[in-house]
Amino acid sequence: MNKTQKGALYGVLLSFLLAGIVVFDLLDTIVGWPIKLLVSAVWGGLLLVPIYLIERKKDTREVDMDERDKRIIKKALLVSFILLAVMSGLAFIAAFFVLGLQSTIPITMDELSAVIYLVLVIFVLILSLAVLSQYGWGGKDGER
Amino acid sequence: MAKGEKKDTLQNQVRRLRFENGEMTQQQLADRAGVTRQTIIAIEAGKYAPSLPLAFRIARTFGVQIDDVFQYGDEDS
Repeated sequence: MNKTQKGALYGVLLSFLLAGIVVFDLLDTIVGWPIKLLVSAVWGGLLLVPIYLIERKKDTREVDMDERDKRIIKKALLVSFILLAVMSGLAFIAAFFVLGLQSTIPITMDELSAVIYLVLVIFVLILSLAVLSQYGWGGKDGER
Repeated sequence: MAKGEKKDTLQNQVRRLRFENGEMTQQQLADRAGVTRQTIIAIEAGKYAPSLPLAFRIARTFGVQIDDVFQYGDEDS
């Protein structure tokens, strides 16, 4: 598995971890701050360790990223952008039909930041899955 | 693709040339061509068409012309 694949797998893991943070934050009233601090520290560790493992090179001559990897990432970015745009459009259409153009809804800063955060999480998840699917979900080094 | 339309194909002799050149491994070829081993695997399997510079680097690694490594043709679909 090359660095780009490892990064994509990490992206999938990261998406679920970040989504978990959003849910955890929304349960603020239920969980006290000491537990919240401890869980945040564990989450932070879980996010940092894979970065070290991905960046670490076993051999200094190892090629990090070649033309094929760049092409795959480019396609994945395009797919992610298109899917995110389609999802945003559908969300807007749904809100329009449910609420109407002139209506307002009360929303806290916490909820608004959670929504924005989730958009980022979805983008990372789609991007990572697009990268992994182009590599063919193969085994060691993409061989079958 | 319409019936009778020709389909472009790119074939290569990378695997054969590797074995003919002292049984070079995929990793060795990747190191000399400046790409990852996965890319060499994908090229040999016909799943990836290399760029022109990469194709030339691979041909030079084997000490042959690019036509001896990669063949481009068309066939009826």
